[in-house]
Amino acid sequence: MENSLDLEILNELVDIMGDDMSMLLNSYMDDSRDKLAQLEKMDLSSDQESIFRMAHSLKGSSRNVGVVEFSNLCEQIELLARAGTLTDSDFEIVKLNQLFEVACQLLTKRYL
Amino acid sequence: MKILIADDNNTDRLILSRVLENFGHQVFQAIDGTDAISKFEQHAPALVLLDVLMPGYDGYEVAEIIKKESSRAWFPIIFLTSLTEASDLAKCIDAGGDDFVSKPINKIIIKAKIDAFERIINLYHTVAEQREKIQFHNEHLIQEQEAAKRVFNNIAHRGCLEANNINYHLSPMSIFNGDLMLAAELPMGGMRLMLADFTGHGLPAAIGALPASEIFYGMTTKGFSITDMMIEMNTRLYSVLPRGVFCCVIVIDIDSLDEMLTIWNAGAPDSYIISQKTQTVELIHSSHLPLGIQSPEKFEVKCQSFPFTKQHKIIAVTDGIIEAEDSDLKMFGEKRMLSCIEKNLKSENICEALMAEVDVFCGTTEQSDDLSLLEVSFPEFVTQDVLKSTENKSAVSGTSDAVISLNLRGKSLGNFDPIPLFLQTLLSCNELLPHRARIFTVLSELYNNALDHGVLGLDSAMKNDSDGFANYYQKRAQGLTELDVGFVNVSVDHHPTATGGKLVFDLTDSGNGFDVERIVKEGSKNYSGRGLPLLLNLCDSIEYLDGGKRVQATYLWDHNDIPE
Repeated sequence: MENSLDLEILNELVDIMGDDMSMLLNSYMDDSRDKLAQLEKMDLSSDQESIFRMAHSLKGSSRNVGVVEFSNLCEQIELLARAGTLTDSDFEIVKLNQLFEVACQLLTKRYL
Repeated sequence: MKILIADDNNTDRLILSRVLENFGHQVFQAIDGTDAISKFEQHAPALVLLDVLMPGYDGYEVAEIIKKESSRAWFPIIFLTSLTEASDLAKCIDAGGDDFVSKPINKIIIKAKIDAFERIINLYHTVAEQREKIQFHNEHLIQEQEAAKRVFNNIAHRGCLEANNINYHLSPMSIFNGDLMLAAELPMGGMRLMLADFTGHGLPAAIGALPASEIFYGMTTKGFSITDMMIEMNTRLYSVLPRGVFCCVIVIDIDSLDEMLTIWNAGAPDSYIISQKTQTVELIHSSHLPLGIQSPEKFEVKCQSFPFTKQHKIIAVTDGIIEAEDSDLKMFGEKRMLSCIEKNLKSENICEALMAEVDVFCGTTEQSDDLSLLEVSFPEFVTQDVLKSTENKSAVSGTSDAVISLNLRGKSLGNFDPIPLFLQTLLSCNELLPHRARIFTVLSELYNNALDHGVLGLDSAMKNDSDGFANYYQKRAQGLTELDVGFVNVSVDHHPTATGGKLVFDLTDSGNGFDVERIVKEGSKNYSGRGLPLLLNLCDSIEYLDGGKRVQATYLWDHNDIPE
């Protein structure tokens, strides 16, 4: 739990966004939930390129809002998919969903 | 500053937008490539931030499209990328990007980059503004120069430089480089030529060309001698030219009646008189400082005279030719010039041959000065174009009924040339304008006879060989300076007749006279200087009185008989 968020990044983000912080976090959570759903449907054997892009995108925005643990897993998947060597056992959709939901709960509790 | 951010990732875009807004910029957001292109056109941002990976058009494609289609002034594109491989980053620049920033975006780095580009944009604007200003001034300047060129060409026109006894080389913009080449027919036939080289370039050098040309054409038409003309020119240039600008000049009179050339070289390189008969070249060195340096009190013109016939040519150059350099900065030089002339002695067009030699010598070396070269051979006896006097055709004007007389004594005989004075006074009668050349010829022949053979007692037989020729003019110059007594009385009586008028020239000199009967009988052979055949041809009657000390010549003119 304590590794889920990078509070330093989040504190800085509060400074930057001010009143728009909640708008940003809502937008992040909605977008990411969509992307995660799309990722889940992707075919491991034929569509590693799409998986790479989606993981890359999720990684980037998550890191920006300090959702680090989830972001790190996205990065692992991104790198393997980019190399075309992503296997079933590495494509941990369940774990991704789990890490994301934990982060969302924490974000909501702290900032919304 | 207006900034466009294109990123399909909402989170990234929202954060970056807010960061930049916090720095005081006006931010437009585009959610993908297509949106970026339309927002770019809509808002004309000063700077564009593009995410590389976007659905639809990716960042590279957007960059290419907006760079290509935009007619706007330069704007920077900065790529936002989480790619880290060198080839990916290089692709950002190849696609027309100006820089890239790695994701996740660092607030401090993006601010520093945007600040740097803002400075460059401002610089571009300043340069564009200045370029516009310079362009405006430049166009203005060109217009002014064109106008100035027209004025120059009207005043400093080339005169009769296109006559077929002249070959020359002169660059079209030479006037603005200070080289001036003028030619005019002398009132009694023959030609006067001037090659002038003002120091320096551009306008300061060109300014002197105006008074010089005006004086040249004005005084030549009125029959003034080289000496009088150069004194006037020096006086004017001395007063108008800025310090450090002066004028090297070669001025040449070719008298086709007496087959004689008079030359004065002030500060210019040697001129060359070529005799094709004897295959020799005579060098005429500069004998005076250039014009515009010496005050009128100290200025003195001493011309040299040489026989000049159909066998002769004269070549005058400005220092641009002598100082033309080859690739080793070696100068063409006077020695090479002379040997080139000697090599081409028999050439029809020595000018062309010399220019070819200079071209070969210089090769591809750019020339810093103007190259001016003038080659003149003997002019056929041409009189000036008849001045068509359309005004006052019937009404006789000016000095149509008058006696003009002048008595010159002692030193005045050497110091003053009365011919222009008489000519100008007589020509105030417009009807005489077509007769200008004839009147000039008659008057100057009669006056020179009275002075040279009468007062000074010189024998024109001396002029028969070239040594004697120089000797003759030396004695004449010496005689004139030593003259204390002696006189020439000149009187011209102009009265109207039923159909025109009658001019009676009456000259008396203090000489010893001569055997009129014998000379008239022998014709031109022994006393050719008296120009009797020519005078008899032009006048209706010539009468020698008082044992040759006095001459009366009558010239009749008719309204209906205009000389060609």
